[in-house]
Amino acid sequence: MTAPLLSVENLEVTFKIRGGLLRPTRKLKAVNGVSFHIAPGETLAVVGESGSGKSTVARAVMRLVAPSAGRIDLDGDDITAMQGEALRRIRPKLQMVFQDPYSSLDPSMIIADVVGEPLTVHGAATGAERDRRVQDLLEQVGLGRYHMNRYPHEFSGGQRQRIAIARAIALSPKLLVLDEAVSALDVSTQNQILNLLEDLRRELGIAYLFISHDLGVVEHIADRVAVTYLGRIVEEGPTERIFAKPAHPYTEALLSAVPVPNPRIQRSRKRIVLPGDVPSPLAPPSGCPFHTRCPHVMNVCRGEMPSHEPVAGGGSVACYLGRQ
Amino acid sequence: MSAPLLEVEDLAVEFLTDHGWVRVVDGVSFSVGAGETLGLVGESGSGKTVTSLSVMQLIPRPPGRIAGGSIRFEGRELLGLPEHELEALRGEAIAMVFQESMTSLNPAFTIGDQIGEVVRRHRGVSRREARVRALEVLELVQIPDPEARIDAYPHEFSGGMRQRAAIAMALACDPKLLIADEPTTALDVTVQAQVLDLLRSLQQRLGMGILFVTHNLGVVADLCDRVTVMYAGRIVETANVFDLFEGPQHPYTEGLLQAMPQLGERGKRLAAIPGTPPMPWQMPDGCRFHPRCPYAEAACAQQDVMLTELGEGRSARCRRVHELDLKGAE
Amino acid sequence: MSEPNAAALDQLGASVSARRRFLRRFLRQRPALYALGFLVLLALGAVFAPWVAPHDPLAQNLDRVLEAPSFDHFFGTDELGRDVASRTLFAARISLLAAFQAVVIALLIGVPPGLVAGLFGGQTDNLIMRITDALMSFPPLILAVAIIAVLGPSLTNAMIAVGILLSPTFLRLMRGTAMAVAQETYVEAARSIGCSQSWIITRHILPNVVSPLFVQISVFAGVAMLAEAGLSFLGLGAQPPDSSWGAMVGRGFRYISHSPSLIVFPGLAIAVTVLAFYVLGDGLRDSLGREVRREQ
Repeated sequence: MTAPLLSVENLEVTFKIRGGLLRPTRKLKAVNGVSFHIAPGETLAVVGESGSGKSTVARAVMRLVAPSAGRIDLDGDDITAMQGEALRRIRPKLQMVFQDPYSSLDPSMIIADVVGEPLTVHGAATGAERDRRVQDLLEQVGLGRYHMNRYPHEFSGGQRQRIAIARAIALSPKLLVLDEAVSALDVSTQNQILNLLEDLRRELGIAYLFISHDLGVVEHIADRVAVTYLGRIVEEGPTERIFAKPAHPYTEALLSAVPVPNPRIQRSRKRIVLPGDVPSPLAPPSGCPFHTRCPHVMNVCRGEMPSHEPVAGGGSVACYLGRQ
Repeated sequence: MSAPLLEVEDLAVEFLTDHGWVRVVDGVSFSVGAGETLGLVGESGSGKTVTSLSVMQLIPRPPGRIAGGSIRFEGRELLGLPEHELEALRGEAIAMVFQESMTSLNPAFTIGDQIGEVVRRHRGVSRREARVRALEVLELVQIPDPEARIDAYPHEFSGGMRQRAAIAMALACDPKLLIADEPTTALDVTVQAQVLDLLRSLQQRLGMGILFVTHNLGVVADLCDRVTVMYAGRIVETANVFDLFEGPQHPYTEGLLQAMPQLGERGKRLAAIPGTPPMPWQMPDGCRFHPRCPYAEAACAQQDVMLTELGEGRSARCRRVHELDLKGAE
Repeated sequence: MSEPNAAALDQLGASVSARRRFLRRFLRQRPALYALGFLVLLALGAVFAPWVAPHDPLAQNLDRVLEAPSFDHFFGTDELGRDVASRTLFAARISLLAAFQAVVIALLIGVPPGLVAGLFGGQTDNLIMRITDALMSFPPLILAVAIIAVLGPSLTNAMIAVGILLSPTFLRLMRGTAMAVAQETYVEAARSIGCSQSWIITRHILPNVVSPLFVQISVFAGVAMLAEAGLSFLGLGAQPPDSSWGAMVGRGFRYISHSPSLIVFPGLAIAVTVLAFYVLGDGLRDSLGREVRREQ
């Protein structure tokens, strides 16, 4: 196996929730001991529902929030505690596309400046050279030079996400973090963007850290999948294995909860409807975080968080089921 | 079939924008029968939400206005009804559930008070009777430990519980018609599955008609009896849910079905409808879908296309409906 | 698929820049347009007063004192026989300039610390806001009189006092807006591509905080004008031979029973001009406000 491009070990991110007059300040552990690797050119999808901490993982990898424990290595550099100029210097390798294409582009800037900003900031190109590069980038994402002098609000959601992608690939990053990058889009435009990402990966060899709640999309785009629940990875493995033979009861329930767009199949298939809601990350359950909703819960589950053990077919699972 | 519960005919809704009065819903007709679930499907900007809000005349005026058509509930015309009569209907015979339940629940009052308030307003019962009813509907929507939860405030509920509370409030007066506008879109999939199951079982027990507005074809496949597909302010196709998924009669429906990223389809290039939906002030001539349609011919850009009746309650707005053989869901 | 389709092109062809969109909206705000037109005319009249005014504003004619409006003197004459219409026009110079001074001073004092408080937060924010609170807890008129007592009575000093009094509102506005803009995803996006702090502030935050500022500037020009009128009325503002509208009302007040036109016309000028600034501010706000709400 080649050396990983990104390696995350035992990552923890803690937020302080400011208390009010009568409420004490509380600590929220949004990410709790998460580890994963991404090889060059590989796509890892991190899936989960709200409160799973998947977006915080993305922002920690981007060093937009500070990890409270653990270690993040990118391309041989430990970036866990990097600051200022050093952090700025590794930024070109590591770029991000945000969920909401309406708020992630500065409304006061024209597209040429939005897409050209990374080039300017890192001194990669200026003047006519920069404009030429911007034009190439826009063409690469399916837009044209006539878009350069327009403002973000003049574009549809899908077009804006293309602009955000053009900006993110301007410095030829090795890793692109996509935080729910297609979930704000309509189905018809969503697929255009997914195909574009597929093309870019083939042409440029970029690795993706793909954060999503949409399993249909994930199955399509990911090489490997990590399933998160309440700040922890409960199962991880090759996409085919995860979807065909989920090893964790949560993964199984998650897959069965996604409605299949075919009424005959959807109405006849067996579904697992989990009771209750995801517990609050402010007061996570002891032991396995899923035990409060798990159909197979055992006594041991309430004690300690199970360790990750390998699964036949690849990957690993953190579940006591079928052990001992 | 008996007379439908809700009949919408030739509805037209306009909004005042920077481009003047713009028609965002144009000639929309559909009906919902008692005990039936009609899915109203479309992408953002298709006019599906404006249509659903128009039924109860809840579109903000200004800038909106209902420019024409007819909306009949149990045979009674709702358009032009005085405001106090509409208010008597809202939450009584016709109830609504929205995507973001937080907006329909008042943060300053307990869940029980809010449900009770609806009951008292429409039924004129005592405070105590209203509370009993609130407890009943909270049980009905399977909120655990309703006796304790009835005195909780909305912010003490999780997203899924709030949506249940909003549904409970909608059901408080035994509505005959429930209008649900993307009620599961903001929820996690595991919670969405719960809410869909709940709606299905409630409908079986209470026999109400549901107008279910959504962009999610998976949810439609799960819950709806019939489906109406909207594109750019117009209906492009209406059919029984099984027929629609198996043999769509409009290229846009086909495009939507093919575009669904389906579980078990790895690595294949995704089908995508090229381009973007038109802005309401720049509707293309002829068929509104023709600039994005893979089957478009020169004539599609010229003449307006009418809905073609195909029998058994099916209809589609396509010139080439009889020539095309479109692919359904796999 | 990689080529933009016809519909998208159409859409782009008809779309316009943010500034033109704002302009188009603003041009539809009738009252704001009238207000702007009035203010422009007033400013032109003030600048070209020596050529436009029917009489010399300082020329006395003791044969014709305290006359009612007539064909010779549209607004009548004052206690020294000077033409009130010409004096009102010349006083516009002082009044407008005074309002301008006060607003500029308020901006200079209020905007930088407001930005600093909004962007840095924490202890810096706390300190700045406590000082602001202290300043705002003084009764404004007493504070103004105290400042003028220290600096000496002159119009400029009066306007410095008004500027100081208005600055906390600018400060609060800037702090709030800067805080909101700093939370925007595009600021985080700028950090993610490796923009430096100073780049983010100058390129992303400043351009997005100025719009609400313009609304406030317009409203405050009106407030400053009212304050100037009040202070000049009390004799703390414009000193003879200069005369502002407020000073004219102050002097005319002594002859109110004899010749009400002496205070009616400058008073009206104040009222209409302040109203014009407010209406303009409202119009600006509405044209900007919808920009924020757009797309939905």
